[in-house]
Amino acid sequence: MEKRKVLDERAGQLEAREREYVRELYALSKKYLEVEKERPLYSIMQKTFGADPFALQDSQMYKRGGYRQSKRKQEFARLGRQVAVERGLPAYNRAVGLPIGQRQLEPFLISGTNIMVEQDDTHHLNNVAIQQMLDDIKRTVIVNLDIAHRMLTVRAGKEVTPETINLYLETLQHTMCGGAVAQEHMSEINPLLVKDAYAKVITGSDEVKDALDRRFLIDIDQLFHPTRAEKLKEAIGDAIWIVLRIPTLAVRMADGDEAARWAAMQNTMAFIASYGLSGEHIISDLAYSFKHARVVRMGNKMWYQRMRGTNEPGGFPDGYICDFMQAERDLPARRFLEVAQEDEEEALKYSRAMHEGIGGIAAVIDNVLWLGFYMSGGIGFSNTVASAAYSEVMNEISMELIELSHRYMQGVRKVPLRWETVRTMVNSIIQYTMESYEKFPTLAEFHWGGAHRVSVIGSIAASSAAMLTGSSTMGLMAAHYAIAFAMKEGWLRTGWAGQEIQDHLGLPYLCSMRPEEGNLVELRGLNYPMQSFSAAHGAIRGAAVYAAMIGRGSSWCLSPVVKVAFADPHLIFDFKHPKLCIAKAGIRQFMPAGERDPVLPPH
Amino acid sequence: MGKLPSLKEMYPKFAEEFEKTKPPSVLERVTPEAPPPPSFCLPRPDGWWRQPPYSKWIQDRGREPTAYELLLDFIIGRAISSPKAMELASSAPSRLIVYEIEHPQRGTEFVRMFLNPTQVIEGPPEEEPDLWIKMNYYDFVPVLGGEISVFNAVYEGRATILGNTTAGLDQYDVMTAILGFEIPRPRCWPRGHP
Repeated sequence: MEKRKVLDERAGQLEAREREYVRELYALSKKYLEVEKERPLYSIMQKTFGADPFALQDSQMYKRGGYRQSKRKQEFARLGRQVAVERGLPAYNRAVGLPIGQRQLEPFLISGTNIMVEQDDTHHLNNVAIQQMLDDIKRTVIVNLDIAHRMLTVRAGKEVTPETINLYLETLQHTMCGGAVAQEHMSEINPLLVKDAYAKVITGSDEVKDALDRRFLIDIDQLFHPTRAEKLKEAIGDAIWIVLRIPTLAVRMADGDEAARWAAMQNTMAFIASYGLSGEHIISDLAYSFKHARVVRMGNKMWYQRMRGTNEPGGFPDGYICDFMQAERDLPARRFLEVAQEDEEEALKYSRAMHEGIGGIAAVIDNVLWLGFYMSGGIGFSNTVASAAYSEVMNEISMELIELSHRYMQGVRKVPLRWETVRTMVNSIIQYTMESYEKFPTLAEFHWGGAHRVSVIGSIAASSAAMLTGSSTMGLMAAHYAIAFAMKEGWLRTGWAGQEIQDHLGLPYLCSMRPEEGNLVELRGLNYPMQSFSAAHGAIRGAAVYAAMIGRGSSWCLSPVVKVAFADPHLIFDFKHPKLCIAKAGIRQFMPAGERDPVLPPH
Repeated sequence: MGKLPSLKEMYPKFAEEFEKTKPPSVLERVTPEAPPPPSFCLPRPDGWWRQPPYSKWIQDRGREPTAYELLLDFIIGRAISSPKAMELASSAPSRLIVYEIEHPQRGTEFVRMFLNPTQVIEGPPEEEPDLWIKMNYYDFVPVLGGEISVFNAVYEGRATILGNTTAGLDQYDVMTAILGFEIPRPRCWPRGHP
């Protein structure tokens, strides 16, 4: 008590002094604007807006000519008139809209490329690469062949040898393209329409690989860094999986569920032809196994109101979405923390790979395709969220994470899964990102008038926490915390992704393993309770899962066969360079599959 | 053919043996454990403050120093003699940093540190501090002794930081200068940044 009293007296003396401790910190921060000019962000914003990135006012407002500043919009206005005249019905006509477009319609510099595209070019209907990405996922089904081979040997008494498997694979290419096995009086398909349909094998066994025709193989050793290949091969083992890709045109005409049916049908036909099968018991069992036994579909069915079949975006688990991403596959499978401690430049490669994946794939699947298209009808406002993820900004901010890790985490063996520990780094990175938005008014303008600040912060927090700990749950917890923190302690009005319930209430739920509550983040998906209606959270969950994989030094997130299936060089969309494909499509340089030209009149 | 023995006769300890065949639970297999604390972060034998290098700057009071005494001795015994540290401490913005030090026997001890003007005060803070650092006494000792970085204790999960990170970096710069190491400072928050 005595000591307490003395302390209280001293505290009284000190109180006045502590109160004098007035902070003019905001004013002081302006002193550092000069330093900010050295950041890549400054030059990116300068290039994007052609103006001073620190400017608080737009001196060119009302002088740019509204929509006429955009070549694409001018073109649309002209084509709208043309369509109206041709069909005798009004079409696209800017005169009926609200004329509020006096701000700059800034172009996007897509990160990792030197390509500037206009915002309209990233709309999913204008951008054929985005369409092809979804088609390539929807038309994929993976089936295990071991069950079929066992059935053939045990039930049908057939011999399965490398020769028979190669014959079967060659037959399968024919049937997948709609070719008939019983070649009499059958409707077949123009091969030019289905030239993107094929089937290829995955195996982890070198012995099996050597016995197979190389044309039909997705070669793990060639496509992945040796350290990653080793882990993938160990996980896949001696099993033989076949990746079946049905034509793009088929999933466009039907839906994703068509993939499994087409694949099962054509796979059965290939077995019948190559093994000379007859007798209905074995064939029906084969067909049944190709539909249901060890068949990996890319997505589950959804609930009634959203009813879609399998292989449709709402049903993709987040772990599969991150296994579609291939940007990291040339990098050694090492823990991110080790790499960051050793070498900042090397760590930057990992970070860039992560943002390539989540910006080019997760953000597009969630924001553009699921929320913007499937859920809300697809008129393009959600494309702006994905556009935030295409840009170089995320890479730029992550450079600081790497620098902080390199300088302040030397000698740290492992970051434990304790929230108090992770919070320190997350706080730093949120603080830095918020400061960046406050110092660069153009950055806020670039992210849709600041509406996407919070989803960017969530994504950065998720990737930082997950990269350091290797835990996707910790990553998602950091994202929820960051968003709630930015809203409650920082900005209050946060735009998209700021008012979502799970950011404020989701933390305890997140750690539950009951599927309808928390679950592993890898097993969650766009269709998950509580997050199916959340704006701009797909890239965040993608960041948590993919960054955790990179943080752990793993080779896959949820399924090694899905990871290998999307490394396939025969795919039309390049899942290793998604942003490049999207940028190429923006400048009309990307050729998709599934075009109907061979059966159309000349046009 | 004789009668087959019942399962109970064949496997009298079936339940026990069956339990042994089960792998450990998934949580046990996948939950990564925190690494054990390094040896210099464990409680030290009595009289450790009389041994070099600590004896060079800790005043021997005949008992283990409290957290306040430790930090005060550190500032008087080491910081004052470092011109670089003095220069840094006087150029940083004013900061109030609170250490909440857990001692295994004495319990929680609070010590406050002002940066610019430099001062060390005992007891909990009256105003909102810039930074709150919570750590174990025997982590605090090697941090002041230069055996580990304060960030190692933080990122290995043995210490907690709450508050303004740049205040922590200012404090860290001063401590690093006192210990005579090269001072890292990130590009995003150059020295003096609020």
